[in-house]
Amino acid sequence: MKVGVEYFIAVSAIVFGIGLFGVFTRRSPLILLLSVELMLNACNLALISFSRQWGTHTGQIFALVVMGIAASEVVIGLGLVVAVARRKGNLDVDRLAALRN
Amino acid sequence: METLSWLCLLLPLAGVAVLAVAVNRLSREAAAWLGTAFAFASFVCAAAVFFGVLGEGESQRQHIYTLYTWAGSPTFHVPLSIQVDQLSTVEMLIVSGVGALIVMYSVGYMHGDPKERRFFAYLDLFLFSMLLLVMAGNFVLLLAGWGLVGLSSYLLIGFWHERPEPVAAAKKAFVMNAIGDVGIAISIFFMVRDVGSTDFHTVFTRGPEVWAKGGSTANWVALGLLVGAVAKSAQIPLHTWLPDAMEGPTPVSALIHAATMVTAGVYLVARTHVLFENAPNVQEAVAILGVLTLLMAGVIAIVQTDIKRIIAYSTMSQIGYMFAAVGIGAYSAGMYHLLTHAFFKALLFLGAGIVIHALANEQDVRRMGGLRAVMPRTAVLMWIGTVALIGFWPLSKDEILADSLHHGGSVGWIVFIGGLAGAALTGIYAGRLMRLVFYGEMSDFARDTFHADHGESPWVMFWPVAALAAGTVLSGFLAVGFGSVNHFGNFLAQTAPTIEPTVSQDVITTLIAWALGGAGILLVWRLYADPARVAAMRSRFQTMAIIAEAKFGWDELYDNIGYRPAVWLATTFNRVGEVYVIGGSLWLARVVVSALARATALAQSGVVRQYATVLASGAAVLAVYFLGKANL
Repeated sequence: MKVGVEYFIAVSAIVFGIGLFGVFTRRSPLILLLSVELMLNACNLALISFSRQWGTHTGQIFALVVMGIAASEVVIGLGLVVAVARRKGNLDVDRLAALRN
Repeated sequence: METLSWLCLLLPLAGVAVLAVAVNRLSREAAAWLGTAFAFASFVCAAAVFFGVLGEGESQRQHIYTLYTWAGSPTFHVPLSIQVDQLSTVEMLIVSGVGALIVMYSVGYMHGDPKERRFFAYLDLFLFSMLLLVMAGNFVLLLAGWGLVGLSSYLLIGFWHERPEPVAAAKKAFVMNAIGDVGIAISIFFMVRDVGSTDFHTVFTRGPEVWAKGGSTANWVALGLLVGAVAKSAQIPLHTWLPDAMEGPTPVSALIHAATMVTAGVYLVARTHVLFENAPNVQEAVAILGVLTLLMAGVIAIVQTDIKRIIAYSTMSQIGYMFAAVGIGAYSAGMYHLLTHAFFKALLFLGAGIVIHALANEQDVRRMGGLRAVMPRTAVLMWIGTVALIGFWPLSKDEILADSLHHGGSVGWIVFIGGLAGAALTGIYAGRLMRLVFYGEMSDFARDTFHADHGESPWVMFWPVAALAAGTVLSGFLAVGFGSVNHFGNFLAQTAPTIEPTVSQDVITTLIAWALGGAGILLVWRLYADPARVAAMRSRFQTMAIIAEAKFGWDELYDNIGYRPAVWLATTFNRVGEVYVIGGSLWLARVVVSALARATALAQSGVVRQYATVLASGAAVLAVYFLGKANL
């Protein structure tokens, strides 16, 4: 059975939706980072599946770059989480609204 | 001769430059004499140019010297060119000659004034501007000179700017002259559009071809020039600045507001007579305005009490004669009166200046009197000027009247009758001036103020006046009339044609004018012999006297139709426009912007998840939109 590109896209969309739902609903920065990571990987999946469909490598290279960026983002993000936790004592992102003014 | 012409024009400008650069490094006296020297050098060049022109054949007397192209485009250019011909050499001689004498007189008159150096720089600047005006070879350069004489007139009227009156008078003169400048500029626009050149020669030959005689464009061109001439020469209705201009120092009144600048309008009409002949209605208007002005100014002069204002109104009146002359086509007669008037009016002003100088700057004739006893030389000189003013000799005014009789038609008769009435008025006001200042009892004021040990006047003030008196008498021989050779008219014939009246017309006119002028003087002498007679006369013509003392209400008229509406408009715009329209719109802009800002500020909650939601919904909307589009 040949697995068509639409299946990969469907999985990618579902994973992206889960990630987005996580970003909307959860308040913990750790879960947020996790959800963002899910969304990024959903994009990677879409990129690679399109790349496979057209028989080119462009999408795969994009995916590699995204992985690299995701890794560094997590490093910075976790560092920020630790710093905020030390300063404020709690980790509710909705209460971190100092930039409003 | 080309070099001499340029030197004549540029020497006064060099004087300005030297005086402006030297400033305090020159002593006051050195600066004054330097200014005088430059003026005299200019006169020497003008005289050399005049004799050069005189020595040439009749047909070769017109020269155009071009330095370079001043402003140019492929199809239109304005050269920096001067025109030296019969008309301009006569004006050059008057301007630099009378000018140099008056600058020399100023050495004595302005002695001790703290701004003496600047005064002489201004005088030289005026001489340069005036020479530029009369030597210009095209209309643009003429307008440049026209504007510059307005500027130097402004600077010199307001020379004593510590007092408010001279400043107001200077502004008034400048504004009224600006109206005239605009008129000339409009004429120039027509020339550029229809002729494609502003050179005198081209405009005068091509103009009558492209502008139908008496057509609307021909009328507009002449009318624009007339507005300029009327403003500069203080004729009705733009005359009100001239009497006020007497706030300037007396040499300025003599030079600018009697001898040269105010007569520039006459020169303009004579110079552009081709364009005026192409618009006969406008030319008739020139004559009518001249007659109206000469009568009105003559009446006002009778009731004035300020010695300089009497002479100023007399100047207006005499320029009225010149306008009447050029309005009926007697151009050389108009120019001849301009020449003699430059001499005798400068003479009268400078004579009055000597009196004012001797009486500690008093100008009210009622406080003078009996000065003949202490100032005999001045009295004689003033008599020469008065005799010339009334028209006994030189016969320039009589020539205008004889020409008008010869011209005939309704306009000719208006000028003739009006001019004769004006001759009687001239006799009255000129006689009154002499009677009040030099005859009768010496007033206490005059006796207290006059210091016999100072003498009448310093020699540097006396000799220029004496030279002007000689000029007045001698200029009479240039054109005697009565069928004898008219040297002046013949010389000008090519550039400013004339009318040749018959001998009988000339004799009749002159005799009537003499009789009327003499009657005027006799009347004044009889009246002022007894103060009761003056009072009786005044009460008999009370209405007329009140109107004349109100100067026919022109100032009030302009106040009411010009100044007051302008002030009302300005205050109304200030109250309504400034406060409600401009202030209101700013207030509205502020309210709207701050409301918008407050509304958008609500979106900036600082909650990251909210931003993400908005971002995602935006992306979702876009996705739905593009998917929908793709399916279609």
